[in-house]
Amino acid sequence: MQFGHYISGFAHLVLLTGLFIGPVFQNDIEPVDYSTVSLISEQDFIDLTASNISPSVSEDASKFIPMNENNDKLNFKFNEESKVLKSEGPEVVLDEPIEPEIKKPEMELALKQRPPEISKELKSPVSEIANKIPDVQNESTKLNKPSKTSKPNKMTQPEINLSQELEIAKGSVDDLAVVKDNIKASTDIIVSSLRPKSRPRYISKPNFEIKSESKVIESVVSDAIQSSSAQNSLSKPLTETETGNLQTAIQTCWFRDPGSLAEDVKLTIFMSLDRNGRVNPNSIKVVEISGGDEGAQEVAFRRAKIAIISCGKNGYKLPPNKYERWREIEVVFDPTN
Amino acid sequence: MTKFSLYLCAILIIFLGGCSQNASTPFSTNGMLNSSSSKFEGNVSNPSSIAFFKNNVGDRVLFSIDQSDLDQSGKDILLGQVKWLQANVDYKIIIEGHADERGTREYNLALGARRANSAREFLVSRGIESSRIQTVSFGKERPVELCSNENCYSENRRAVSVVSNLNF
Amino acid sequence: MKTFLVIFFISLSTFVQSAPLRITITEGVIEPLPYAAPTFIGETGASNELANKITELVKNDLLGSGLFREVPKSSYISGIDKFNSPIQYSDWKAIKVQALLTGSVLVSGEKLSVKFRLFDVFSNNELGKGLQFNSTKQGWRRVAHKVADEVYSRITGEQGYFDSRVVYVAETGKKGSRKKRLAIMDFDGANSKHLTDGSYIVLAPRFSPTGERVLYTSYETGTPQIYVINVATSKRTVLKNRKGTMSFAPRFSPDGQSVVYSLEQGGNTDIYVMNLRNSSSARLTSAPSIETAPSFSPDGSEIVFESDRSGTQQLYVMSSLGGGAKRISSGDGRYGTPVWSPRGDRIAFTKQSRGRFHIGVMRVDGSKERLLTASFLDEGPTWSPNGRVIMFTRETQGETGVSALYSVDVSGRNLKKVKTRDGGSDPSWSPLGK
Repeated sequence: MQFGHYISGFAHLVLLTGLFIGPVFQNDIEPVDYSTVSLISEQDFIDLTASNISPSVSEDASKFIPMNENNDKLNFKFNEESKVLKSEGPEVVLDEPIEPEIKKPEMELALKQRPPEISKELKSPVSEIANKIPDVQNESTKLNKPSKTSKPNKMTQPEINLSQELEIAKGSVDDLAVVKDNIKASTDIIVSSLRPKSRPRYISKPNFEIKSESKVIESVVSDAIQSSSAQNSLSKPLTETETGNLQTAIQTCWFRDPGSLAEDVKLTIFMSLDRNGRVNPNSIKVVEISGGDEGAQEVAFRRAKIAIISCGKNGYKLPPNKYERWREIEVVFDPTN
Repeated sequence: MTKFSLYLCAILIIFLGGCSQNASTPFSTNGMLNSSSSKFEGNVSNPSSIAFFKNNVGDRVLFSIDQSDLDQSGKDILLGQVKWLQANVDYKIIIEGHADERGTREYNLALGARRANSAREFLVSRGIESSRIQTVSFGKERPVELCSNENCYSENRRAVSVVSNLNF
Repeated sequence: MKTFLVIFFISLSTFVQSAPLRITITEGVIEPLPYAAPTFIGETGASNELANKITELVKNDLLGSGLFREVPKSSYISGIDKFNSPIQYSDWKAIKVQALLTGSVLVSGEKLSVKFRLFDVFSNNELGKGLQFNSTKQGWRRVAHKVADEVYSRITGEQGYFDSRVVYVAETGKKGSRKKRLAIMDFDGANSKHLTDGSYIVLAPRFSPTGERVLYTSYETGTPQIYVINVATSKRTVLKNRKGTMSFAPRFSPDGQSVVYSLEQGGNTDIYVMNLRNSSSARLTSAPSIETAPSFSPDGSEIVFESDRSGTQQLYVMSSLGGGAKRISSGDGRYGTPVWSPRGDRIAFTKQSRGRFHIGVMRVDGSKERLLTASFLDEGPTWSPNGRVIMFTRETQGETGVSALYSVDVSGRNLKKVKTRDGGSDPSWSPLGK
């Protein structure tokens, strides 16, 4: 999947006369695939230099082949909008009047369609100077969260207190069955690869519950394991320090851009590691992604991937005796807090 | 009763002003866009001259922050203008509304227009034909005082009557 | 019952073991992204000069956005000596380059061709396809901006804004008698030229949606009236107006067919809309208060404006047919000059609070207000075509006070002065070039 396919906004800015691909220079190594964008019309361009064109260039130019058999999406867009610009230099003079329609980024619609959020800050907006820690990401999540209720303050997640946990742990079989289903569901997601079909799958509340419940289960299970002493230390979960180290390692390589639409995107990436803690690059895939438009998601994924690869290039420092625990890892990148 | 004393007051002001020919004008006039050059203003000793109007009648009223209501001293000056305009029927006036720099450009334009209109309505209510008065707003574009504190701001929140015997 | 539970736990335990470890990352590095751009290759001796200039301008654009950091050439392990040489990804990874930009420039006669390729170093992949731009030698700045826009767009996933222009008011002379001329320039301050001669005051120019025409307010006739000027031909026309009224604060509708503006009559200012094809106008507000600074939503369905109907300047949104105005600003202080973002999701505004002026942004419903700047006098925001950067007027205080153009990222970062020859105010950002 090439990222170039997704440069949605780009289709608007380029008016072309002809589109050409093909090698211009000798390509003994590998043909370079590129497209041509003319800021002046092809004819003007040729006319300009018809007299003083250098032979080598004209020879090269003859090698240009029109591209239409190449069904690259990006180029296809170019073709669609091929209009002629006769302006030369910085003056933008258009050959034909442009229909005065608004050039609207595609994602706008998506944003618009979402139900308006009800913010508790409506009455007293926090107006801090943004120089400190910009909270764009915070705003962004809210936009994307399906606001299924019209009550304000619904965004705040309920605290799960100890008594609740105990209730689950000691609860009836039915309760446990529910928990089991949750876990199963999450592994199902892992199995199904790459992109979820429907985007706003992530609602923070259920997610939170899954996490806390699985934590509870983990502790219950490890208790059970320890008491039965059936298993060895391999299955001991990673300590907080150990997972903390991994978190720190990844976050030092995760480049964020607070003004970007990618800050609306929350995504979970799956990776498998070898015993030296090195990431198998082919194993990296998106488990779950929500928020932002396609372009934003693309960028969010790329930035997350770079974080994982670049920080793990020498292998993550993880306890070798617990390899079974960390050979497969899901990393949730959540800029939306 | 009050009206009468007001009227007296205004006459007194005009009269006193007329006596002190060399008194420095209480208002600076630099930066005025439409003010006629002194060449056409005539001699200040001539009560029908523009110079007399500016210096002795008083060509401007001031406003408080964000306001377009006339205060008493503003009304007094405008009453003087009424007298003068009634005595000099060939003259017309353009009232220029202004604002200080502490506001956004568009809002200050609208605010200046309010001030100019406030002065205009007063003149009309005292009998000046509305066809003799035009208004324009300069917003914060033409401050008469340049410092950035209240001393200057208060001079800039003004409506200035520019008289001319030209048709418009 | 108990045995059942134990059995369940054991079966569950094997299950849990096979589930991946899950960790959550919420903090990252908020830093410009490191990229490398070896000087574009000049394909002929005559191409070298422009190759250097273009490389430099692409760099200025990218660095100027505040989102990129160039890895110094001195740290390169391998170079790029031919446009289509294979990339040694490991060499670039080793110096922590995330994106690599290579290019070549060919000048022949008046003709200029610039090619570039972009690589995602950590994926060992080319990021999008190579592109070639054809233009003339004089058009080199536009070509460089286009290359930078492409790079920006491919890396950030959002449209760029470098191939764009700004129309503004160039200011010279003293504060009390300032000469104001309509001027137009590239977004980076290059290629500046005047559109009016300064013999009358001009205010607040606004680009049409296609960037061909500009609306502005002028004192040419003595009172403020709205004009349209064609940028290419400098031909002007005045909008039809009633005698004895003052019209100002115009903006185009998103389809470019009508103009929303303020009209003052008898001291009262309201909002009107005029159809440019038949010059018919309709009144959208009718209140005794001041209603001004209207701005359309990008879909044309709504208008945001300021009004002091509550006693102080505040922001309201109404239908573009008028009516149903809803106040959206709610903080303390005064709000003015709202401008709808091209993305449609935010409104930029000027805020006055406790003696300071701020440029801020809020959601369309007024929530999530954030102030991006603070100074003695900041006002009049305009959005970059991609909705990422805001340009505005900053004026310094006192008798020697001057106006200048500044820009700031919507995150509040990267505040900087825009280069202009003289003082500048009331910027309006064009759409992206075609």
